[in-house]
Amino acid sequence: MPSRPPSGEPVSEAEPVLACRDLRKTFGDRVAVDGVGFEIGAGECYGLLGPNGAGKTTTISMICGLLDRDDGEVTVGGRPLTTRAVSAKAAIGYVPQEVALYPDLSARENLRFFGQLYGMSGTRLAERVEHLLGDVGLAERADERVEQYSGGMRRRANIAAGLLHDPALLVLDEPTVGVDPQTRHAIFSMVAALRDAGKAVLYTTHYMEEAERLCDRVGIIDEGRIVAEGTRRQLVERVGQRDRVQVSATGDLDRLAAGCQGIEGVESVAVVEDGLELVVHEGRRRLSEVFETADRAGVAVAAVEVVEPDLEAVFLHLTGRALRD
Amino acid sequence: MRTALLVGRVELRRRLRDRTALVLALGAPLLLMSVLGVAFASGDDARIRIVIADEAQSARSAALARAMVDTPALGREVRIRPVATSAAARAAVDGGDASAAVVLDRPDPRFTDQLRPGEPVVWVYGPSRGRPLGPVAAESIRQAAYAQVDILARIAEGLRAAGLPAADLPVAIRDDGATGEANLISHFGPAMGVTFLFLTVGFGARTLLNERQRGTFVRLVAAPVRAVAVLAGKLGAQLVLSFLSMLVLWGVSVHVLGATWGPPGPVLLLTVATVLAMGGLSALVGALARTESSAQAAIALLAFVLALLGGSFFPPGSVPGALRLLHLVTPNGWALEGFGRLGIDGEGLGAIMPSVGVLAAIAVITVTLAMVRFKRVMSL
Repeated sequence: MPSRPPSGEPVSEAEPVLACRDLRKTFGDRVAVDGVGFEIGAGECYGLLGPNGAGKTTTISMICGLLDRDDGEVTVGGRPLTTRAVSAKAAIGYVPQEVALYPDLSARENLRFFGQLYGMSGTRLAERVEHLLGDVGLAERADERVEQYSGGMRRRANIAAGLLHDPALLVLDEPTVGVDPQTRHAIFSMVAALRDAGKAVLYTTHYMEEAERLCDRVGIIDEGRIVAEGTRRQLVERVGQRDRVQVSATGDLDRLAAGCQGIEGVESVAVVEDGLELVVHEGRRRLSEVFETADRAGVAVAAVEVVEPDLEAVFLHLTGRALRD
Repeated sequence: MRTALLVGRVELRRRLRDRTALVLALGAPLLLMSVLGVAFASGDDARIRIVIADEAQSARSAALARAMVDTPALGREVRIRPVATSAAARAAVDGGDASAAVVLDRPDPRFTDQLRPGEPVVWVYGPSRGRPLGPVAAESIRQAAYAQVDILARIAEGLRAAGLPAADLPVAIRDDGATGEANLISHFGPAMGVTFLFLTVGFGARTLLNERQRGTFVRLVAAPVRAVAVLAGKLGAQLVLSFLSMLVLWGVSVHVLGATWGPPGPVLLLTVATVLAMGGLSALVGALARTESSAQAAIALLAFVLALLGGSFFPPGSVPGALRLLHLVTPNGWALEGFGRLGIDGEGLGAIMPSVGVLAAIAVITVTLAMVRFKRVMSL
């Protein structure tokens, strides 16, 4: 069953829910977004990963029709989207970075209002509001003003407001900035559930761990350009990163190092203070051979840790800078 | 339209929950209207309406009466009309149709030492006691009235203009215990309403900037609605609140403080035009500001400058002629001109059409510019 935006037109599963091509935006002399393009299918979470100021918010502002673009095109559910394409916006659920709710209204009042803006009314709206209040754990305090909520509760209400109209595409702009671990976990669970329910999710973040954990594919954006895109594994392989296997051991470490040199996939071995450090392709698959070699060398292995390359390393490799620079 | 109504309804609900907005829209203008009304009250309306009765029936008194009615030297703020008898003059004052009566009487034996035979005595009759402000306030008001408006000096001025020897005219004020009332509320009611209209709508305009900073405006325009409808709803809510504030001021000043605003139909029309003009101007100032705090400062400053220039803080009769010209470079001045025509002069719809026209033009221009500007600055 294809997702159906409130306008009533089905979003075809054959085509991506979101397709954007060659998006460009400048502010004066500064190029904020320069040729960004990607697609997101139903049931897919796409992460836009980049440091602050990389162009993430500008990109999603163009995608959501909040900002006129200088060039490029955006289609949502096959329909072109611009700042003036009012009906196409109905397929998007936007969750801004800030808690974009009225503090002097209750959560229920906020949700009802934003739902009405999307053309919802009557029983459908009431049921949807109650359902979402339950989902985000605010049902019992739904009539309190938002200004009386904790930061985490506000964040959850903020996300609920973006989901009211059951959008085919959910756009979350750094939803976990400044939240406590418990709320972050709740947001992760919510996003994963939405993706599993068939929603297309565009998730921007500068937290590498979030992109790795939540996103099926990641676009790494820097200085307004997508410098790499793919699954985490594809990105890591694309830049030639290898696993590091750290072996804590006692005994004849030089003999062990010599033995490990012969293991397939091992690119380098270094003897360190209390063991060895190997740079290996697909480190986990080589662990049994490492143990066998240690056994043959009469070395007692106390611990082994495989450190896989992460997106932080990829970003560093691609841009020469850390994500949080 | 649906979006504008939806946004406006929520905005109004939020404003009504906000005590600051309520103080601005209702509390402050009511308080200032009362305080200024007492402070400046003259026992007469700001534009003095005087009836004159010629009981002396002499050639001299007839010339004096004619001169007082006809001469332009009395100034626009003093309107004099003849009545037949001193009883009619008293009735006009007691009934609120006149602020004071001038009776050209036959010589009074009590003043014979001041009179030459055959000269009339002029006495001024003020309204009676027992009006809302009470005797103490009324007495101070009466004193202020004579000092400020200086009716007798103007009478003398009129006489000189008519070629009569004013200096020789024996004039006595027969107080007869009469005191004044604070009908200046008829001026300060609309005046404070207009001043705080600007602040009320300005308060709403700067909340738009606040919404932009907080992100709620972005969420609004991310919805499948037109930005102009969102803006219209938000501005409309402020205008409705301002209109309600004027209605409350109108009701309180008339029914509690005894002011006169004039016939309801023209008052409503003028109120709507005033609300739109002041609202548009205030919204434009808010739209031109870069931040919420700069908007707040600009609106507060401009509100008081316009109020001063527009004559909101002073009775019209107390302002020098050159300054009076400045009134009409402000929407406040045009609004008060119209309200004065209705409430003080007792005129009707035709008299306020120039004011309504100017205010409507200000409204159209400023609202359009504010919407265009807001639409632009509200984009990310």
